[in-house]
Amino acid sequence: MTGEALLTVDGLVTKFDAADGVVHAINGVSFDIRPGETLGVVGESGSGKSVTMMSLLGLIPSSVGRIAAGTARYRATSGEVDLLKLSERQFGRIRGREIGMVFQDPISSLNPVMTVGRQIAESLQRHLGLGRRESRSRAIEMLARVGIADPSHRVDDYPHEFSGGMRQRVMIAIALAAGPRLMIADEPTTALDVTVQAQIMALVRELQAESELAVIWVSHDLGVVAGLADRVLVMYGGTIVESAGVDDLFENPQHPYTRGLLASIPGTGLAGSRLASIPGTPPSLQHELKLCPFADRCSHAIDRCARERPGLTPISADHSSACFWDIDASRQRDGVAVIAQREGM
Amino acid sequence: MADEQIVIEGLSDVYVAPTLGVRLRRLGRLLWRDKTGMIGLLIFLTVVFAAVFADLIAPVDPNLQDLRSAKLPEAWADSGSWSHVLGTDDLGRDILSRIIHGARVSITVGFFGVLVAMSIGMLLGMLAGYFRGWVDSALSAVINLILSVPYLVFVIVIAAIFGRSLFNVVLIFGITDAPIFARLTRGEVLRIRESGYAEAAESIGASQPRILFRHVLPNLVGPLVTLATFEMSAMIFYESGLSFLGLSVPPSVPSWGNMLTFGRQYLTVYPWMSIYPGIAIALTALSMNLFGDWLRDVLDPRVRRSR
Amino acid sequence: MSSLTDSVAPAARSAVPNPLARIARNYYLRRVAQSIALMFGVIIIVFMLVRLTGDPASLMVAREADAEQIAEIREIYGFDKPVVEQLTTYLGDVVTGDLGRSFLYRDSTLELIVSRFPDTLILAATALAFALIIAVPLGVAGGSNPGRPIDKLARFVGVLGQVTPSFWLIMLLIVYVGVKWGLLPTNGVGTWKHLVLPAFALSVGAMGQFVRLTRSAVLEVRNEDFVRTARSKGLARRAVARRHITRNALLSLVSVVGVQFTYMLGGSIYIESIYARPGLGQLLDAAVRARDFPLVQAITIFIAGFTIIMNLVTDVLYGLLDPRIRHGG
Repeated sequence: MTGEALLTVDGLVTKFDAADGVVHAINGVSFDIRPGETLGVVGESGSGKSVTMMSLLGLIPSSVGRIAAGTARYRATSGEVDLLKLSERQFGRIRGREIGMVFQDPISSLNPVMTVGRQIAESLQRHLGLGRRESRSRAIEMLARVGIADPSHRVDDYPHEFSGGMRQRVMIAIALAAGPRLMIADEPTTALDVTVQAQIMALVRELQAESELAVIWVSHDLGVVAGLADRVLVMYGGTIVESAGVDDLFENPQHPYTRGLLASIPGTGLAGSRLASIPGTPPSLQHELKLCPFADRCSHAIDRCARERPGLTPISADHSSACFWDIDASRQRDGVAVIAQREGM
Repeated sequence: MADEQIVIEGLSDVYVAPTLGVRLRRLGRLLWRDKTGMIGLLIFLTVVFAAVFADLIAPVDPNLQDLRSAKLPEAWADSGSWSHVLGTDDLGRDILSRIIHGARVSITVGFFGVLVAMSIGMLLGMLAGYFRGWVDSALSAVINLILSVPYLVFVIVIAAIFGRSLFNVVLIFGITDAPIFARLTRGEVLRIRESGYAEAAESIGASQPRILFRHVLPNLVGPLVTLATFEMSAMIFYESGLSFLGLSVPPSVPSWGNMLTFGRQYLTVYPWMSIYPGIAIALTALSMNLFGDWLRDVLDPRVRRSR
Repeated sequence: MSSLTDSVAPAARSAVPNPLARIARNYYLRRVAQSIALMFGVIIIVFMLVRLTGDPASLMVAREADAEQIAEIREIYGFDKPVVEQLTTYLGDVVTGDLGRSFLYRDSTLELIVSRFPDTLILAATALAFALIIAVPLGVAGGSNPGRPIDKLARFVGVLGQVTPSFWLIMLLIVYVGVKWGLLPTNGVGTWKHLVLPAFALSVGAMGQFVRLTRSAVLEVRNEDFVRTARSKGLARRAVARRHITRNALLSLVSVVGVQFTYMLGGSIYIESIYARPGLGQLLDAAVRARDFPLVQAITIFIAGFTIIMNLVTDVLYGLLDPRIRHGG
């Protein structure tokens, strides 16, 4: 997992048009991911994790929201493209072929009246130009690869004939059918019980070992991310508040929000624990974000946090935090970037 | 403490009714924004107004026969006269006046028919949803039974048996349409009883009837009002059909369907006798459908979400 | 290839064909039994309705008929016997295929119905075809382009179809298309030309409902998660629309097509009597006007029976098209 980044997102801003004004869902998100790497993205619901991923694949309906700023350079086999500027037609060559996506709910995410084999074959026919018979045998192979027993019979079954964990395996088979180099998994195990969750995680690790597949794994479950990711992004209020290698993040969290998350997990048993709540509520995103989104829930907040918005600033190699305060040293951190300011203050 | 939290969260789902004034004002604002719903309501109110004040606004007596000015076409036709804007029928009766009076029959049947159907249907639906068990099975069987005969055929047969009078027609529509209201009520009662907040309310000691009235009824208001609008429209529509077959009010009473029956005999020579009563039927049904669509969007959140 | 087979798999593993077929057959057997029970219920209800006013004999004859005539009718139709006895006799007759004798035509009601029904069936089938051919493309186009002109047209047709009385429309069509423009025949049966106007008039109600339903189903399915999955595979917009949205949306249409078809049998009472087509509707109209209650009763039971069979067919068809029902039991 060295070398050039596969995907580099810079300054992504996504806004939704609600009945009573604009919702600032994503307020400048930047990150990158290298081939073979697993990037964990954690945060509470409403923190912008899913919206970020949907934005990257152009899946936000234009009637609902729009991407207002940013770039997302992806190194496709045919050359570099900016995902945020692609037309729907151009996306047709990216989705499935370059980037596969797995969604949270494997029940509603599969077409109930189409056999799983055909749902996998669709991608093969579209991207690899395979015929009916070839794509069917490839679909059977894919089912075997994701650990479905008796795939040559199961290929003609409908989604409702599979268990939840099996359906999610089918979803992964669909996502990976045309051999993408990046898989975005949006809370793929949230709807599953713990044992099945572990099996799916093991499957993804195994698939990654077979190829240079990069994975973005979105979750609100720190335990899942700890067991899977190489690097972790912590999201809050439509921004990234901390980014670090997985061990670094758990041993040496820098942002007060990350600390709050970790502190709420009892003892050392990280596995399987959900994010416990921190006092207060997530910020309303009705206004443009011009202060620290965590300021009103933060026990370390200083005056500045309500006036200026800290940018994600490197602390050490591969560890960044968006906070003015150095908790360990109990003083303001030097050189924190200010990316927005409230007027008249 | 944690338990308490859960209960309170559960209860926060409950529809807490704001004061009537606030709700009406909010509805008014929403209606103003939706022009088709607004137009629908305005046309419908016009029809109701015509029905209530028919005696005052009808240009002439609807039963006044004037053979000297019989078979006149509408005023803008070549031989038309502005003293009979929509023309006259074969006996010289003023078509506009008859349409205005015809609204009476339509609105009466629609309003009282829905009232009867809704009362019976709500009662049966609540009983079925509340007691479940054999009461529910028996009532559901009867509902299915009635709904398995095509409505129009059913109504025609009953009307043929009971004879033509306004009272009979109201009763027929009221009874035959009750299953639809019963089905809606039953479904809603079951849905709410099985949803979290009825259980939550039960767990903090609310009595069953209290749950029914506090939680089920408010949730029923929206779907019921919407259904009532559509059913009223359907009844007005079907009444005109019954009239047309000679199965509704007596022929002496001006009703839109009766007018069409007379018009049919002179269809190719005096088509205006048929055209305008038909427009009255279609326009009334249209207005109620437009208004009903708007109501459904506003009052039924499940439907609204999917749009 | 992978050792990671879910431990929960056997529970959800689809059954081998044999038990599966048994469950499916059981489900359909259950539906058939239900339908038969429903049929008997309908017969009893209609039978009782006709006798609810007390004495059908006095309803059936002209007001000035003398007591002797009434007594004669009573005896012929068995109205003088206790209601329960009449009912059991009638039920027995129905099972053997005897729906009673018409008072008006002095003939077996079933024979009358059977001779009139094909014409109505052709009319209703043509009307259904008109409705589907116009409504489905319009509804799909509207639902796929919400707010666009085509959607406005779909909504307009949807509402207009539902509020236009068919008996009024057929009159207008006769006056304008038939008489004034002379394009099509104004009444009767014979060539395909005789079918166009009555079938179109009969179709508008169903057409309206189909357009509305298709449109809203498409709107709803568009937002389903599996459509997002289809898009995330990189499928072209048209492939998503055709394979995923339209196919699923049309499933919801299946259940109402049968219902609308049976409504058309009812609607034929207007169309056939106005357009002078000797079908079942016209027969019912004549029976009602002549107060021929044995015939009214027989036609009602026939139409109800047809409706119940249609519902059964719809269920089976739905099961064939929707694998969830087929396997769910």
